[in-house]
Amino acid sequence: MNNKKLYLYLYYASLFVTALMMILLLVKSPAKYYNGEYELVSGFGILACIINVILVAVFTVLFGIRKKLDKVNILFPAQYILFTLIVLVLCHLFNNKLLIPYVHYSYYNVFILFNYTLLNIYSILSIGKKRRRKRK
Amino acid sequence: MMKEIVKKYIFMVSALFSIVVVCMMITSYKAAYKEISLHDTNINKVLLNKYKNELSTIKDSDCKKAVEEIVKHYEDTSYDGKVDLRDKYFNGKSILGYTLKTFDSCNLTDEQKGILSSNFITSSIQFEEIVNELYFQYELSVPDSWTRSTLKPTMDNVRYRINRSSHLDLIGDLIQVLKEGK
Repeated sequence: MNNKKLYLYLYYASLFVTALMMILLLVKSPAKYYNGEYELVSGFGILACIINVILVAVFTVLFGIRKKLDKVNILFPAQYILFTLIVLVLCHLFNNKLLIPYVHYSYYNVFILFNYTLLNIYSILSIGKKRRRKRK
Repeated sequence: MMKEIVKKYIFMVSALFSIVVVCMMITSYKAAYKEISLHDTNINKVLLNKYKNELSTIKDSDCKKAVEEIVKHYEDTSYDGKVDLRDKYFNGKSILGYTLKTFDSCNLTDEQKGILSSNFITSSIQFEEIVNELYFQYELSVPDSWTRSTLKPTMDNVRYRINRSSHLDLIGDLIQVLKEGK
């Protein structure tokens, strides 16, 4: 398996992990307002979610058309997946300490989505240009 | 060439961001405040023993059982040493829950019920309301965000002892009313 193919697999694996996190968050979502004051679902979180959906669509469409990736670093999606899993494990540990469940999942998803935005921008920048056919 | 430099920087920012967030989370988790050290006073302990001995003066067995349940509630919710408020009170019963059962079992008069009702309510407000308030302070004491100001649970021993005795006052008043009879 070459580097670029592995990058693609890892990219879609990170999409899967992010989607799983969002589903987990939606299913087990806590009250949106804590104690009437603390807003858990921030505007930035929703905005980041929408931006990421658009970026994934752009990457998929562009890669579908050009079918070419430039030089990529497979450490990027790998570190993103690792980061997401560590954050989720730590959120789970926090969850055991708290009375209102799933507060930290809601809070830290913003950090995960920010990192995912960076990964998406990197991936879109990595899509190669279509080669022009040389005239004989 | 420019694109490659931008890509390199994006990767570096992401890696640094991940390390910082994870480090912050681990630090916050370690700093999470979980236990409070609280002790009941010796006076309260002596009073409790006194009331337990006086339980034998209650002749009606149903009534005695009902009062014993309140005493057991007091003992079950007593703190001694380091305690975790969440474990202790997460599914805790309120002392108000014993009101009707005590009134029914002890066949009290309306006047006695009137006096004791206010005692039950006062006892609940003085101690359980404070414990409920502590839930929120406890929750906020976990510094999950470095931008969020944190509060530590403020129940100290003095506040605990003063408010805790409200439960004992209720038990004492109840035994006194039952001693006096109808």
